[in-house]
This record gives sequence, structure tokens and C-alpha cells, in this order.
Amino acid sequence: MTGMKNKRKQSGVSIIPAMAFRNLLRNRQRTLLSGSTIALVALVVCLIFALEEGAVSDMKNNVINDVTGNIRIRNEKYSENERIQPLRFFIPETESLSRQIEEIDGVTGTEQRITAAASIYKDDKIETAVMTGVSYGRTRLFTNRSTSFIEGNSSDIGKGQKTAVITQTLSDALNLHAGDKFTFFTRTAAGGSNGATLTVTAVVHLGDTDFNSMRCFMDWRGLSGFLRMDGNASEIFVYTRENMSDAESAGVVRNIQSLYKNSSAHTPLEVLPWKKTGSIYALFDLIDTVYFFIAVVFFLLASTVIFNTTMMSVLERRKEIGTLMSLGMDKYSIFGMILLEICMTAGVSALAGCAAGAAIITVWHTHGYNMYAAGGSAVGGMNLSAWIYPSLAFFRYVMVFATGVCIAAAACTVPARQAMKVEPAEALRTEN
Amino acid sequence: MKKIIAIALSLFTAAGMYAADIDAIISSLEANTVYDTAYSESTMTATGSLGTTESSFKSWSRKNGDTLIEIDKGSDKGQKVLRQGASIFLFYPDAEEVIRLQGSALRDSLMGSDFSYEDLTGDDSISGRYTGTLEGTETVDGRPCWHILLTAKNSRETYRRQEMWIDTELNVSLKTILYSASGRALRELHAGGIRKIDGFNVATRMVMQDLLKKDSRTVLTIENVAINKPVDDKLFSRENLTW
Repeated sequence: MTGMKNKRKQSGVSIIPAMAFRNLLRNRQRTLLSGSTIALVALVVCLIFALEEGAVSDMKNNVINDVTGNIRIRNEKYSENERIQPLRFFIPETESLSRQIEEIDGVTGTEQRITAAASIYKDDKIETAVMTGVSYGRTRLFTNRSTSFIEGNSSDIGKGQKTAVITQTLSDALNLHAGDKFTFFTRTAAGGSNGATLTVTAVVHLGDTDFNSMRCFMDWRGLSGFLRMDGNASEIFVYTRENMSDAESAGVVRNIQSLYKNSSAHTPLEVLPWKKTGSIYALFDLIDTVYFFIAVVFFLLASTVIFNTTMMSVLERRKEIGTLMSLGMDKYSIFGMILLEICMTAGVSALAGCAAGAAIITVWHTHGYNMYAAGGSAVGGMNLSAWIYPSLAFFRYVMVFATGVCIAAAACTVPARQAMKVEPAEALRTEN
Repeated sequence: MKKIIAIALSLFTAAGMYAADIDAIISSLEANTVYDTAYSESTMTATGSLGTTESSFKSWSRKNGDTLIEIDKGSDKGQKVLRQGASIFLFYPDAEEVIRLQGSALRDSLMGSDFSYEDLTGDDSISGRYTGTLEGTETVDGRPCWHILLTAKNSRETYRRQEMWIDTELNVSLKTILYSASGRALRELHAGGIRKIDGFNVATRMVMQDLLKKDSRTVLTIENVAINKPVDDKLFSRENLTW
């Protein structure tokens, strides 16, 4: 007797997928509504994750390439007094130290940097701007994928110490163009002031939009001379090989620290991996968490649609469910059948949503996505590029797919449990 | 520079000792500051939270307030500052243009010191530009002084209010506090080392404090002064700056 029951159960279980599939096709509009909701949410979540991943990756790259390097070196007192532009606290023997650092295992290069507020003078008009001393041959500011030369080109920059590259904003403000001359004056490291006339060699729109304000770039050695910094720089950016672990990076930091401790210049230097130079890295982690919760909220909203359509389906099929139960299908098989209906719908839909998302993300990754046109200027100060190139790791697609199916399954447990409670005799007496 | 000399220079007159009304005090002070020309050689030591800088400069000035300063020692060596009326013209050896400053820029620091362009250049007259009130007599550095308050007649004045403590015998302002339009004290000047040169009482050591900066002071020492000696007018032209 028990063996027969088991056999019947096994037989009932084996037909559940077929019944679930048939049920999905019976009310195609409802299935389409549930499926399209999941697909749409999966698509939107994929796109949001891709934009987030693209933006965070872009900001990380820009911070490392343009603001700190993988490791940033400063005079300790410079950081302590950063608010008042303490140019006199430069890095002694900048060039010699840079050369020694480049010999450390894992270091791929260095870049010297000076930043100073200045007044730009042209035809009796004065504008406040930022003078940035860069190593033309080493800086990554002008090689960013999103950087464009409005006037001049990359071969024009760095020809002579009295030449400058200016941003489009500065060009517009003072009507300056390639070949024009302008005079700047600024406070020097010695506390006095100095000025010089420079020739514009190029007008640029930089990929890192934080550098597109009123800014002027010139050779750092030239600027160091004008600012009475004795041929030294305020910062050295150290670039390390790609994918270096935090532990390896800490090793390079220790090597750099031992270099200057053994040198004749006894100025205490601050040597920090880029992740410790500000709060932006912590922000990246926070962004990840925030976006995960946004995705969950989207799926929860979608689950309300799943819940409603499944509940409606169960109520409409009470007589049918009662019949199945009277024919011997147990309540767990009923529960499983309804759950399977939703899982099949959610699985196919989430897969379709992820596939559509992957197609759009591929196009974005190839051609770029204009963040500023989409309101990206609101995050100024975070080193975001105007154009980002979104991408999404494979595990993220798997995560979106799994989250979609799981939340849909969770949403249908209440209607499925309702179906389990159907009394066959009572259900058979009802009209529908 | 002329301004400082104006503050520092006073005729030693008996009348000044007994001048009890404000007009007489200002007239006495102005009498000491009105001169045809002045030339001086000075050194300046500026001390701030970031360290100390030293420089020296020569200064020429004439009656209408035109002033030329030429920096001959220190990190700003070779630079020139020309005051013409309400404008300052800056010459930097590496710059092809002469830079013109006006308005509030005249309150900017000269050579990173606590002295502003306005403090060391420009018109010295008081009665035409300020209305004075006598606040009483006080002692400064052990010397009896008239305490006077000057309020600018014109809103374009760099300092809208000045407080001075004028030595009743030497007619030298031993202490001056300079205020902004909002009434905020901007700078405080103490004068000392008074010597009689060419018949004038000259304060040869001045200490200026920028009250908006913490731990900031500049000591200006006048090494050499010549008053009312001939000065070439060409010195005060913009063309001369670039030569």
C-alpha cells in the first residue's frame, strides 16, 4: 500500500513541471506581465550596476592617474598646512629621490607635481586660476581616453618651460587660443610674488572633469623656478605595476620611507598608498553597498507584481486545485507546482533581462556613456570623467539572475501556501 | 614707502606739544608728511607661521603720492612696484606685461610681508581724505600721545578708519591701527627708533602686524633716507618699469 502511494507520488512529481509549464501558457497575458516585470527589473539593475561599476572604476583610475598615483609622497608639513598652499614645504631633492624610487621593485614610474593658485592677467583682465606643474612626458592627464585637444595636439605640449596648456574654461574666460601669450602671477614659496609670461600651446578638455576648471598646466621644473622652490616639487606620484596587492604596496611604501630616511635631506615625508590619501576609497565601498540595496528595492517592487498575479491565479484555480488534490496530488506537490511556475517565469525573464542588459552594456562599453549629459556634473569633485565606459563582471550578471529568481520565488510562497490550504470538497462546490 | 615715512616723519614743533584740537593735531602731522620727494633704502624681515623671509628695497616717492619700489635683495629681487594714483603696476623680470592692480588688491601683501601696497605707497594727506576726532591723551611706549580717530570721507579709501597715537612732542605716530569698511582691525603698526634726519623726526624701525594672520609680523628698518632731494620724474613712468 505504502509502495503504491510512493509510486503515485513519484508519478505526480514527475508531471509537475509539465503541468506548471502548461499553466503558464493557459493565461499568457498574466505570465507575460509577471515575466516582463522581472525582465525589466533585471535589465534596469544590470544597467545600474554597470554604470556604477563603470563610474567607480573611472573614478579610481582618475584618482590614481591624476591625483595621487598608486602611492603619493609629500612633505609632512605640506599636508598639515595644505589649506594655505604651503609651497615652501616641498620635497627636498625631488629629482634624485624620484630616480631612486624608480629603481624599487614593482615601481613602474614617478611623476612630479606642483599645484598653486594664481592670477591670470590678460589685457587688464584678471582671472583666478590654478597653475599645475606636471611632468609632460609622464603625466597621464593628457592621455586619458576622454581627453580631447580643442586646439593644438599632444606633440605641441611641453615645448619649452615658458609654454602652457590651458583648459577650455580658461580659454573661454580670457579668449586665449593656441599661440597667444598671457601673464600669470602668484605667491611664491618664499612668501613673495612672482609672475611670468607664457605661450599657449594647446587648449584641452580633460577626461577627468575635476581638472576642467580655470586651470593652466606647465612644466613642473619651470613652475618650480618661478615659485622659488629650488627645482623641487610639492608631490611625487609613484606608479606601481597593475594589480599590486595592498601588502605589496605597503612593501613599496616601506622601501620609499627607508630611502629618504637614509638620505641627507632629513625632511619628514608622508608616503601614502592612494587608498589612504582621502575618504574617496571608503566612498567607493559605500557606493557598492548603496547600489546593492537599490537593486534589492527594485526587485522587491517587482515581487509585489509577482505576488498579485500569483495570488490571483491561485484564487481563480481553487476548483482546479481542489480537483487535483481529490485526484491524489498532495499539498506539497501543489506548493511545488506553483513555485515552479514562478521560478520558470522568473528564470526565463531574468535571463532575458540580463541578456538585454549585456547587449546595451556592450554598446556603452564600446562607445562610452556621457555622464555629464545624464547629470553627472552633480558629482563634481569626485574625479569622474565626462564619458565613462560601463562594464559588468560575469558574477554580477549571475547575482542579478539569482536575486531575481529568489525574490520572485519568495514572493509567491504566500499564494502557494494559500493553495496548500484549499479543501478539495469545499473547492469542488465553488462555481469556478 | 612714502606712507610709512609719512607716518614716521614729523616736524618737531613746540606748537604740536600744546595742540589740543584735532585740526591742529592733523595739520601738525600733515606738515611733517608733506614733502616734495623722498628716497629711502630699507630692509624687511617678515616672520609668519611658515618661516622668515628677508629682503631689501629702494623707494622713491613724490608729493602727489607716486611711488616706485625696486626690490634689490631677497627672493623677489629685480621686481618693481609703481604707484600711480589709485593704481599699482607690478613689473616681474620674467613677464612681458606690466600687471595693473586696483581697488581691494591694494590691500594685498607686498613681498609676503605684513605691509600692503597701500601701506608703502600712495597719497599721505590726511585732512583731505579723513575726518578726525580727538579721543584723548594716552601713553604709548612711555611717551605722551594724542589718541585720534580718522574716518574716511570717501568709500574708495583702502582703510575706512584709522586710529593713531601721535607723540605730542615728536609728532610721530607711535601706534596706528588700520580698519576695514566693516570696522574690523586689519593691521597694527608700531613705530620706533626715531632719529632726526634732515631736520625731520624719522621712525627708522617699524613693526607691522597683519591682525588677520596668526603669529605674523614684519620688521621694516630704514637704513638710509633722503628727503626733498631732486628725483627724476621719469622714475614714475610705466615705461621706466621695463628698463
